[in-house]
Amino acid sequence: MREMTGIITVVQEGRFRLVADDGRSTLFVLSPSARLEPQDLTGLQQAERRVTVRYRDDRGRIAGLAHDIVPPRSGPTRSQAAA
Amino acid sequence: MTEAWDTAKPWISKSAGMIEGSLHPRVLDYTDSFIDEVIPNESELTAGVTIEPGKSYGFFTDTTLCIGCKACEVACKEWNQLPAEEQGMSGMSYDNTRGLSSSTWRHVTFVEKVDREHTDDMQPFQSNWLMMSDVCKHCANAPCLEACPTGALFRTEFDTVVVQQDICNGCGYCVPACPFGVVDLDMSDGKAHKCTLCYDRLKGGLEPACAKSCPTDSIQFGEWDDLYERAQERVEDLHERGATNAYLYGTPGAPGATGGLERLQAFFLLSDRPEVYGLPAAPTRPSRRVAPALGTGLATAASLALAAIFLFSGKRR
Repeated sequence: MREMTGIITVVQEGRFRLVADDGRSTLFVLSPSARLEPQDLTGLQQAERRVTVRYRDDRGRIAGLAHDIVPPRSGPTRSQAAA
Repeated sequence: MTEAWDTAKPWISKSAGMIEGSLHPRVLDYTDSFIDEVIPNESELTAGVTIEPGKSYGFFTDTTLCIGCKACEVACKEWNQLPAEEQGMSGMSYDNTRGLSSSTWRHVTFVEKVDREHTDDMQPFQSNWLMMSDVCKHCANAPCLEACPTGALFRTEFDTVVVQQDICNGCGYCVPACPFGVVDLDMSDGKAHKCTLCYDRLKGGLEPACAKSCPTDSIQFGEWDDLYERAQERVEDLHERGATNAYLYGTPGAPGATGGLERLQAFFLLSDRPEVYGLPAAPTRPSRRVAPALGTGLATAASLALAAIFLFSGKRR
């Protein structure tokens, strides 16, 4: 399973956009097998918290299927990254 | 500029489409290119309508104005964060999206007509394209809503039909119930999806993304009664100009609003048979077929029982 770390910037239902630390923006669809529910995504977006998304490619679509969203193992906080 | 355009946005000057005294007065409050706040009741400026709960809203799609730019498709995907589908060339004109799906809530249909009677005198550069931006019709008596066993599908305060994602259990009953083939199950998240008529935008006083992005005003958003009146005037105007094949689809008494559907919140102006655009000529609510189906089933069971009784009683003799 692949991983991407960044900040969730937009949430619509179970779909969210993650801006990675390198500035790339990727769209994800939350899998029903994920521990989080779609309503949890808004909280993560509003908190601007860095998260790591574990995902697989969503077949036939240009998006990732997010199987888990967890705190990042390490790395700078958003303010540190900005500095 | 056409009369329909002027009717849709009455503050736009008829002559040049410019502002000149006929601009909505509130536009002058926002002259900067970049605005750092959401404009209150922005729909007043973009669609000429104030969005209030309790009123009935919808779309009027005038297919004679559609140029097939697909701005509505893109705007819908952008606002709703819907993933693009990885598709190649479909071979169906410039239509590679092919149809509505769980991740495509607006779809521009391209129909290339071959007029066999006038093939010889038609110039090679002339296209016979019909274009139509298709969408969920938000039916007055929505069959998907009737079929939903969990109450995930509900009618909003704006008279539109929306799927609540946190309640949908993905049973899929709504999919065959829709006579237009709009609702679709997403195999990735296991839930039903369709156009929400930008429910979140309406709550924020914003015009739906597709209508706002439409450069020719083929898609018009507003209160249903106003749209209906505007659409009738447009049909009369087209008839006067010689386009006598123009008609409304989805308004009361018209094709599309049949079989108990009463009316479609998103209705269309067409210039050919509905089937040409991929729309059913006479859609019906599946719930109307319950009684005949039950009656037929009971009659079949009774017939079989009678036949069995007759056969067995014959053997005993």
